[in-house]
Amino acid sequence: MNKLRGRNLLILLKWVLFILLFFCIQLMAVRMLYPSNVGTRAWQRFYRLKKGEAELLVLGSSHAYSTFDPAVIQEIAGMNSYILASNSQTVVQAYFNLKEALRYQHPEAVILEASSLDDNNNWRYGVTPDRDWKKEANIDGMRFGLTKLEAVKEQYLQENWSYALFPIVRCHDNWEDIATVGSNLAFWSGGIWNFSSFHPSVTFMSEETAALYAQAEYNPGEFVISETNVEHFHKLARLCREEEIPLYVVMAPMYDEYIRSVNYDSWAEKIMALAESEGVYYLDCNRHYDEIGLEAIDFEDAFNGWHHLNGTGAAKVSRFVMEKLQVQE
Amino acid sequence: MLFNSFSFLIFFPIVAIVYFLIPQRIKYLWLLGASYYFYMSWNPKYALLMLAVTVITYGAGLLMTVCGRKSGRRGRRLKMVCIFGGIVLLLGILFVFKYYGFAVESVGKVFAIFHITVQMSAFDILLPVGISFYTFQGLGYIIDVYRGETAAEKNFLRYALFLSFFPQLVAGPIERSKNLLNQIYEPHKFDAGRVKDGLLLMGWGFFQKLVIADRIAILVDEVYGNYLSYSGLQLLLATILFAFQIYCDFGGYSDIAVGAARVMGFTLTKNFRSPYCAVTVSEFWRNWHISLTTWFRDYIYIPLGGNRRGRWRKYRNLLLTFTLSGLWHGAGWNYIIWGGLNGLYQVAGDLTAPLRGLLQEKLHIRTECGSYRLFRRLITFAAVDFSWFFFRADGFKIALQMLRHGFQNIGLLTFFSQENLLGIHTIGLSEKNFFVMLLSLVLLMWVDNRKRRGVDFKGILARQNIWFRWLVYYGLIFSILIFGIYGPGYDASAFIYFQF
Repeated sequence: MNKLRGRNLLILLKWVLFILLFFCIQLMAVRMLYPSNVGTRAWQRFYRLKKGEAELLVLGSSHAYSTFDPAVIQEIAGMNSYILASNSQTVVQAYFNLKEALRYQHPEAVILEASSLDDNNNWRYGVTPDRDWKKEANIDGMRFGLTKLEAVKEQYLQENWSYALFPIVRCHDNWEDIATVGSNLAFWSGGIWNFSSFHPSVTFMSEETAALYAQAEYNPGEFVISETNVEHFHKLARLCREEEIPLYVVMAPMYDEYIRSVNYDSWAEKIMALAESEGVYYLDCNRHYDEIGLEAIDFEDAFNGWHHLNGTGAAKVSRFVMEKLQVQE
Repeated sequence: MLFNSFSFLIFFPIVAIVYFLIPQRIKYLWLLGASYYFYMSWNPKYALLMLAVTVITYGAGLLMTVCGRKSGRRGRRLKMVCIFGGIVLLLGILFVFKYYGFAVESVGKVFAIFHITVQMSAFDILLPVGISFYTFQGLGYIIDVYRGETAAEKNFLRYALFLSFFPQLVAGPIERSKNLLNQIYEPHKFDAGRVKDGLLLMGWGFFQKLVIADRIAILVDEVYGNYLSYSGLQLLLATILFAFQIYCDFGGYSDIAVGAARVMGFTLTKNFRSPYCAVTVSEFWRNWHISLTTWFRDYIYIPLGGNRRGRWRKYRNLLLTFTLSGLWHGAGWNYIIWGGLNGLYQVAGDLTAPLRGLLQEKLHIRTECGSYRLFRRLITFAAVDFSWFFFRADGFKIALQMLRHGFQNIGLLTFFSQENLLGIHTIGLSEKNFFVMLLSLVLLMWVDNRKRRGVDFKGILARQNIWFRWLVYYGLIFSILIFGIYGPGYDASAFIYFQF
């Protein structure tokens, strides 16, 4: 009887080992085949930070990773910062990002870039389709766990959960693309340590693009913050309060001709009201062009074509923001 | 629920694990519930149809047993009424759901020749998945009961499981009551070795379906869908590849079905035995869709007289059986032609056998060597593949148009051009994918050839060291995961035989 039980136990152990090994190989296959993107790699680098290496955590969309320059932040505030941002990141994902990040780091402050409250970035109910790579980037980057499951449940339709949780389903056909495999090999064999969460844009606003912005008609439409975004902003603020981490909401500057073409006042007012409801300091860089030293006509010194800041603009804004926040403290 | 869907990957382990954990007396109830859930995931309404077929065949079986107890002519006559009633009802259901539209269209066309317009209302109805399979399984059961080859099942729920057992429900193998019904009574305990064998077979089935069949499908669908854009040689290439597509599609399904059943302790009929290694068309049919071929042999061909009543009767029976088999596959003239052609090949083979023998003798052709066998295999494959051409085309008329187009535009120079060999840049598959497809086909044919020679892959694998066995298992799993055609961006085809 004991012999039989021992044999069954051995078989069970073998099966468990087989399944564990399967998941390890699957993880390696995904790492080789996954198309590289900022969101996923930001997570992969984040998990390798030493404890306390992220004293300031920045969350948000592409505006976040093209605005906050860790070198300037270090210079002004003497803090190590990490930007856990990704393209079109919503406040919903930002909340889950913070929740996951807190399992590994305990930052002294958190900045949420305010564009993530934009309703256009509402992944579940907005215009971004369920299988958009921007949405997958964060989910795929996060380690498997309850937070990841929660993030998937919140942001994906049920029929797409399998695609969300098993990236091999989406990236397996990349075996044809040697460049992807090569890039991933380089990243995982040392490149990960050189990865920077800050991605200064190296392109500039061209005169042609600027002319197009100037011609754009004024759109008086009211800016909307969806209920989901409001709910998750409150959750994010509550989480910071519970962890005793100061939260700041910062709107990165955008190209001023673009701002003139939209009902920016309704945008700014709603975000300010939301921040105030949680007692969170809100800094709108678009109201401080002169103080920052941004000049929209100075194409090489501020913006790129998608009204993000370029590298020089990012340095100016990071300096300004950190000085302002230091005063707040 | 498709076997190659994520839902099945969740469904199957749950069903299998619970099956082994619950007491023996309720195991069949669990499987019955799971089978109906599996079927209802397509369309819950069609479960009623399956239930109707179950009630009819179960009732007919019991009635025949009761009638059989009565002695004399009356008993026999009543039994006859039962079997006749059962067959009419089942074929009636099949006709309404599968053939009614085709019959209406064909009658309309016949009358149109004589300039007569016939208004017959055709109703738009979706063909219930697997209807031909479970109807034929039910038919086989009542005929077996009538013949006294099997006893009528008294337990309705066990019988319902026999007809709805999920691994083989929608695309076979078409099981006989003697095989499957008895197994439902047998205790099935967990056996790690058997589970492993079953999973390995399922893995091989998934490989055939996802890596080979669905990869070929991209090319074949493109060429058959836009045949006017392709040369005759490209059509030929697509037709050759379709032979492998349908084999891997259906053979893959059957392996998954047999493997899934084996995991739970059931042994289903083997449906394919290296069919493309056959040296004659009749041998091909002895190894292709075996459960259907034997069904037609036992319930149509032999009752018609088989080969016992002279040569010409045998030919008539062959042609009739294969034409019916074609009709079973689909309501369309192209299927009938496909079936008829396969019958015709066998008649022609039989008729020309003495002439071929004479030629071999006069020309001193060695028939016991590998090259001769290879030659015969190629001829058999060509004949079978020509019939597949009609099977795949979207109707008989289109098949003829494709043939005409192919012969008028052979495209020899473009097919063998240095820059674009086989016209590979236009046929829907990238060069790398084409290479993977070819490599997989070589593997498939090698495995088939070895199996035909009696090589027991499972046995050989079982004798290897654990690291090698695991290497094979992981190799199989990851070749499916990485090279398989599935996921977003792909239109992973449903199994071809589901439509029958």
